[in-house]
Amino acid sequence: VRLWWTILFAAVNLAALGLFIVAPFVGWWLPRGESTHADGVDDLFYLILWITGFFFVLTEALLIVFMYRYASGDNGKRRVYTSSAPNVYQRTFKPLTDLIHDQHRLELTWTIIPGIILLLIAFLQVEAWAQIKYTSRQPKFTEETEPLPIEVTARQFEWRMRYPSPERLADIKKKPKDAPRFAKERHVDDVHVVNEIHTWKGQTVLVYLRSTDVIHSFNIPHMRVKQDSLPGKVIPVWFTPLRSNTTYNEQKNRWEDGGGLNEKGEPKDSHLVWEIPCAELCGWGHYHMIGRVYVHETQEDFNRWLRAAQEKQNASQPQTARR
Amino acid sequence: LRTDPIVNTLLLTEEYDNPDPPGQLPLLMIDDIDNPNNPFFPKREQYGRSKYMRDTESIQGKDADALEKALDDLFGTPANPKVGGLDQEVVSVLELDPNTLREGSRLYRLHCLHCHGLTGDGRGPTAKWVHPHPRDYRRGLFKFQSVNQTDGQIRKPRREDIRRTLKMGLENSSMPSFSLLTTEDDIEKLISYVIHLSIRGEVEFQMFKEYITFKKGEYTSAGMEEPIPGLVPQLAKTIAKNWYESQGQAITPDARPEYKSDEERAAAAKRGWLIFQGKAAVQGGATCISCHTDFGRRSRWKFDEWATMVRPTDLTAGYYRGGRRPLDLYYRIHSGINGSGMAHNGANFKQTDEQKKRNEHPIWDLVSFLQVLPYPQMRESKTYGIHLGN
Repeated sequence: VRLWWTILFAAVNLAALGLFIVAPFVGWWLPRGESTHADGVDDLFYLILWITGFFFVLTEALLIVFMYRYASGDNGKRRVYTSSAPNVYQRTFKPLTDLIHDQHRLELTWTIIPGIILLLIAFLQVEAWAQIKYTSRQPKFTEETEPLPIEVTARQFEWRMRYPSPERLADIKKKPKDAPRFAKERHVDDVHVVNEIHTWKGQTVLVYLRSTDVIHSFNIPHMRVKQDSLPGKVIPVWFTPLRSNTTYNEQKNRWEDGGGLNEKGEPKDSHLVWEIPCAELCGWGHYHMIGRVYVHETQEDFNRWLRAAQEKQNASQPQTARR
Repeated sequence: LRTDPIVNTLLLTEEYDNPDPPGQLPLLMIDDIDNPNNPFFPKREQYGRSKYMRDTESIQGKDADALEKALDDLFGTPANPKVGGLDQEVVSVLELDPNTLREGSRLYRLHCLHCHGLTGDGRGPTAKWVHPHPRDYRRGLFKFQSVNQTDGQIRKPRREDIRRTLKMGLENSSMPSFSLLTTEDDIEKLISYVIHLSIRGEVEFQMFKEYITFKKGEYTSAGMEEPIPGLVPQLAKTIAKNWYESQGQAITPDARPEYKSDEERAAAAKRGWLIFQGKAAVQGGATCISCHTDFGRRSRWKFDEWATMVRPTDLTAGYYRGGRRPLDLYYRIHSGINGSGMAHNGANFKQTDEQKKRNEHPIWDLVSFLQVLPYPQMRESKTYGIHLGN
């Protein structure tokens, strides 16, 4: 390898490292976690990041050192240290190079240590993974707790949400055993909404995820939720938001996320806009496929929204209000 | 200038079992029909450059230059769109001032162009791959609207209707909802630009339609050069006036009868069921079921006014492209769906005094039926007492 390749290689690596160090301070980082399982996922993420980060820097540094050390000159031969007598570097590194050649014990060591680390991660991740994916941990409809069931149907290029009507929600509370039927059957009184998930603070949402055409991926970065939707399958996804982001604007007569909207219609606090992008390239209009999560402060607020949505859907006369 | 043919779909009434395959717009490009992969290749002689289509490329030379210049003079370019020669009143109601249009054009190119095409021809690079195919505005027809058309005249949609389509999307089609992607102001600008494209496209369409003549086995446009500069603004004015007038022609729906119990609701749905099948005594000819075969589950593919293949919707599926509000269903039954072959029925389904006394209304009865239709547990329940056997 020519010397200038080594320098370029080192420069690219250093730049990457620099960007990486700067990223959290300029907002190029994970959004703040907003759900109950976000901390578990983040802890795991950081653990793996530190381990892989450490070894990445170490191996890249060694790689660059050796590339520099054995770079060739213009004549295609080794640039330095052509004499057969051991030079100062060879003498210095002799204990190390001796160790490396035909050292089965060393080879075993560098196989077993990463093995142990991988095994460690495998055990550590079980809980975090179980919390969000194991069907045995899926929130159950019981007398004490009931998740809010929402059917989300992905289609090129939007999310269509189906909510139980307020009446049916009350029924679910009375007869929790019947709740799973919601996913199986559509009902005449369902409330259909496009691109918007509404819930309230601390309420677990149980999403029945479907797709009508191709594979999409239901992703809420703030909630640390990501799940592919497959045509022909109903996949449960659940999360519990910790914070609310939606308030009612009396003047404009609408619900606003992002801590309210300013005059231009932009959110006042962009950290409180929780989007639902499609995370699987699903077709030409993939980038159009963005929903939002609206977390209301209280259940009353949510019910008020749901009632309004229901009334809007049942309209039999034109309304004058724009939204 | 458009290069795709003008298809005379009124003559294409045949029915098909399958739609066009992905990646194909069956009859839209005249060259496409010479492609052996096209499902209509065997019929190319029949559909080709004969009476079914007018080949727009037959306008050549001076005529084409004159038309292009007249259109550009009146409507500007995508970077500087305008609609010239209109009354101030029309411009302000339709919001067609150049500033709005310029911004609308920018947003259109950002969000809509890849499907609907630069000229609104519904033939953007991605259009072939989505079904139903994107709307071609140049025909001047819009499907889902709330404008009264029961007198048989085809009218333009209101701004409100386009706004609703942009905000809510069209369920079960590839038109997404833009309410979270843009601000309210941006949506207004987009509506203006869509109207602009539609007026421009329709002027072009009418010019081609009126002035291409079929002589001795060939299309010709001889002698168009002279009258063009005068005709184009005149046509634009007429079309813009249609748009302007439609804005005030909204359907005022009759009040929905109040149903006091489930039994009454079920009875209304049952009456709707009879009307749907043509078994109830209602004035007028066609019955719903004659096109929506087996409640739409077995309806067949036909050509619409844009020469794309569509079929009467499957009403048991529970998707409503034009919206699922009872109001939307009322609009569709009342004034039909432009360009699709769905006729307006408002005149046939007028509420008589006798029906009023009995708390019945043909359209609302049909709406009640349609609302129940997609849900088996409802139509088979005892309360509703409807069995959709055969």
